[in-house]
Amino acid sequence: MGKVVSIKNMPRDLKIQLVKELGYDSDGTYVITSNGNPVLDKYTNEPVKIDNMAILPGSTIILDDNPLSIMLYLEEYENE
Amino acid sequence: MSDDPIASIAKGVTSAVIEWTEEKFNALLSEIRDGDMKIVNDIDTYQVMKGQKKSPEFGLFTKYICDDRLRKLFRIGLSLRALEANIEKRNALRTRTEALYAKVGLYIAEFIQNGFFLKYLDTVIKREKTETGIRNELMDFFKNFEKRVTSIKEMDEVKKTAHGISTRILSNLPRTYIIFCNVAATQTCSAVKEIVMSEITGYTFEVYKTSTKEVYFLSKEDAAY
Repeated sequence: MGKVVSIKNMPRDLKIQLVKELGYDSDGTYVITSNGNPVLDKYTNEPVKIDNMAILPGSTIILDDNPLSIMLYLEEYENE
Repeated sequence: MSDDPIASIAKGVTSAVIEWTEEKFNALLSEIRDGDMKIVNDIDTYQVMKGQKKSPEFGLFTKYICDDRLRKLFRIGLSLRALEANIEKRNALRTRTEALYAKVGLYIAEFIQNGFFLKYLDTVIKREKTETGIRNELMDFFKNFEKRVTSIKEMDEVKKTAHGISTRILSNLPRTYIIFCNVAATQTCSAVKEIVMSEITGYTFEVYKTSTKEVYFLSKEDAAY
């Protein structure tokens, strides 16, 4: 099944540190690349907010944590 | 609550409130880099999405329909149903669905959300003799959804709406045509159905009611491949 954890109560500065450790950055609101470009949800093309992100395996994908993006991720990566 | 949330994590899913010490943060980071950890904000949403494949309704759908896009729309429909109590999330999902799949995609998802699929499948199974026949009709229905389904509003003009539906049926001769409404529009819907049935031949109808909707399934008689 893989492990799933919620970071809902993780302090924002720690979330920012987390994305930095993964090679990204944040402007305080959105997740951004090291070049300063917003990280876009792979499925909806929406900029990903640091307070509502999902970090998923598959070359470390960062998505907006909404039902549609999660479902499309599961369809792509977890078809049994 | 576990004293060691990371150990809880190791067991699968945790919604425990974690105190993020440096040690726990580093452990999480290590798990992410190992590629086996999923980080989400709302764990309930994730579990709902993950559990959809176990739904018998989903199993029936995928038994007959292999289309990737329809499969995703079906899951969106199940998600809309699961989110009915959360208006903000539900509306956000509707907006995203329409952006990605256009209005017809949203209509299909809402068809699933409303619970019409099982009843529709029931009418098809009663009529079609083979799995191939069932599969073909379902695919035809969903691929031509906009020509097969009409939603009636309370203030719709009865005769005009009915003539439009009759024309569509007579032009396309679909095996199934669905007319539905919210409970507030049942009088209008019933009136529309009556006129349609008087203007077409070779169709029977079944009515299906939920607590919030009324649905008429018009089925072509003796339809055969």
